[in-house]
Amino acid sequence: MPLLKGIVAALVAVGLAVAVTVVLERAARVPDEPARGGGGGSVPAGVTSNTAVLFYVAEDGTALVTRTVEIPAEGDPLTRARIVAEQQLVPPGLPLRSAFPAGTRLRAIYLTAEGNAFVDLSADVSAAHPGGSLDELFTVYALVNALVSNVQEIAAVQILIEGREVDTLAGHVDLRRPLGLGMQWVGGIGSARGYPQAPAGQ
Amino acid sequence: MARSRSAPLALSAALTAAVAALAGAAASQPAADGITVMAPGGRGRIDLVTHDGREMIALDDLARLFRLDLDEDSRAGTLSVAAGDAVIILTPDQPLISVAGRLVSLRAPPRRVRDRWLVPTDFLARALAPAYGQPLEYRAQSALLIVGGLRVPQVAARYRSGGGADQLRLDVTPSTPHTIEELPGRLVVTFAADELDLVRLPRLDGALATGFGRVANSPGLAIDLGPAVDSYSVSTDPAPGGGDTLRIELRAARAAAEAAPDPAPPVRPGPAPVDPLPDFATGSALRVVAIDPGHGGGDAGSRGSDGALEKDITLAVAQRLRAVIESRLGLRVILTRARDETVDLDARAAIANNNGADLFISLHANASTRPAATGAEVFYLGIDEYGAEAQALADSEVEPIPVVGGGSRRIDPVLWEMAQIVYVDRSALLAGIVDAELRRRVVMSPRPVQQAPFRVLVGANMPAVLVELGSLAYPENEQRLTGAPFANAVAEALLASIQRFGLALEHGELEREATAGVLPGG
Ligand SMILES: [Zn+2]
Repeated sequence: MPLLKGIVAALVAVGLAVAVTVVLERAARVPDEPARGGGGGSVPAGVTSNTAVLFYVAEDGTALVTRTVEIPAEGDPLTRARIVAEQQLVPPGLPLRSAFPAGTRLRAIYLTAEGNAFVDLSADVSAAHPGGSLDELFTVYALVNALVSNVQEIAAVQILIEGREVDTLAGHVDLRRPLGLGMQWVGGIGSARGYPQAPAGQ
Repeated sequence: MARSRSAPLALSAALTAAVAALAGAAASQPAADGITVMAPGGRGRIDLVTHDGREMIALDDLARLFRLDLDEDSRAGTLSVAAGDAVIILTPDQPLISVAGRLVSLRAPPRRVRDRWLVPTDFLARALAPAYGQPLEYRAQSALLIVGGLRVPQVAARYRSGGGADQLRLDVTPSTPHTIEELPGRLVVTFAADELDLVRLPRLDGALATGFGRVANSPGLAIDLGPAVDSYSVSTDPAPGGGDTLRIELRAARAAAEAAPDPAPPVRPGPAPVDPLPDFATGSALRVVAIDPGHGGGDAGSRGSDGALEKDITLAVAQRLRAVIESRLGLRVILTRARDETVDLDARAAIANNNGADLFISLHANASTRPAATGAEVFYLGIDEYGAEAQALADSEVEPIPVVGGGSRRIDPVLWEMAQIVYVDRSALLAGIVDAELRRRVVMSPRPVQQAPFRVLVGANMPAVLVELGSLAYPENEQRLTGAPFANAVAEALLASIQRFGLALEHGELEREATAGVLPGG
């Protein structure tokens, strides 16, 4: 035990090496919590992973819900942001629903030193959007929440379409400035600022 | 390095004893600067320590309460925290920590400050909960840590007063069985729970009910009935997120005698009974109403399964509403578009602003395919999304431009883009009234009144709401929303809302109603 802990201590400060430690520790354990739901989050065998919380439209359509998935472990915030955004665009399994219109692609993502992420999506996110205020809020906040929750360096997210700033996706939500975490759109108790799916002894 | 490890059962007993020792020390409401711990053996408390402007928890406090073993490795500079069989390893100033062999990131790095280890509050949910051998749920909103699977439903109480019938609404999450007992002068709602997490108390000034509070030593709430209460009724509906909404309607003796009792539930689709209109004299608080039929021209908005378009429905309802406002209230009505044309979102607010409108109502319809989400919703502007500048403006003493007739309007180009910010309180009042009036006439969504950063609202220099009328997704809904009875029901609801809002402004009732619970939850 002291040896392993020493390894963690020595390596945890170096992003690249963290992965090695995880392999050591994971190898010794039966995974106790497999990735739940979610469309993405598959990590090839042998590649180290990290958890991420993604956001989908609940079965009853009245809120976002979270799913925890495994994503490849990456120390670099930009790479992690790209992986999270791409995973968030993958449709989940039933009964959940993606908040994004089919065909929506991630074109690019940029991070600024101030903690703003600019996420450039393909035109489908607007052109194929079914409309409606709540569904538009779900689309926007699924992406905003996924990036802010999972990437320490991101505090707010602005969505671009085909490289351009836009007013809205479908005529309602103001996209002219970066938006911060919006947990009021996520269902479940204690979700105002917390993680609704945080394990509670399950 | 010898370390004693407790078996889960022993740990549980130890915890119960530890928490029991503190029972009674904590108030029933979560204390400021602390987290209330509820466990089968009683209550405890964890202090919050402010460090670098962030609320942190000292790990030695947690260790005492949860019987954690802390072991610092001075050579490696790490701290290992043993919780039963699981070990959490922290490094100072490093937000990535290891929890039972998995890496977890915290919102802020652990800090080592004068022999104490401080961790951010999300350590509870992200590290302690998965490592701990028992159910552990942290509710950030109410600063509550629930141990051992206790049933502690969250209850938000709101009270709405007016028209001889008051309503107490309890939003209960998760859904929890309850009983209602009638005692002399008092109703008692008792939940099948261990404790209650009461997150919002209603204000009762001048209401039919005279008191509201917890029942001592029981997961119950008591409502004291004033002498004017003649009858009451109770309804329970499922709410989003697996909760219930419990509505207790109190009726005054006079109102019960005058108005025919209404046997129907509050949600009643179809044409509404026409209310007798109070005299709405000229010189009232409202003179010009702006109605914004959503979308138009090249932007059709949502599309129904049989081809109905949002832009057509919003225009039809707007025209119907204009006719009833003009004929029955004699107010001037501005439509941001009167035909099928494209109008920019900026231009819509500008049309209302330039015509000196006292009220702005934007109309929309959606295409949600989920039955639970197909009812009407009311939105007003959320200001959190507009940053610190907007917050400061909203908190400042800046008086919005008087809504009461005449007066000058403030012109400030810097603030003009976010003109709505200073009206948010009034918009919230309006949204609450619109919700109540719609609720009497059309099907509502389970999440009716909400705040959101909506583009069309932010520039409106007057109280403003956006109404989603319902969903076009199913043919039967589509048929209903495109029919004249629906347009009439909505027009009647909005007409009544405008009247109530105008009267509230005239009678200076804004403050009273605003604090009495018309506002939706925060
Ligand atoms: Zn719309």
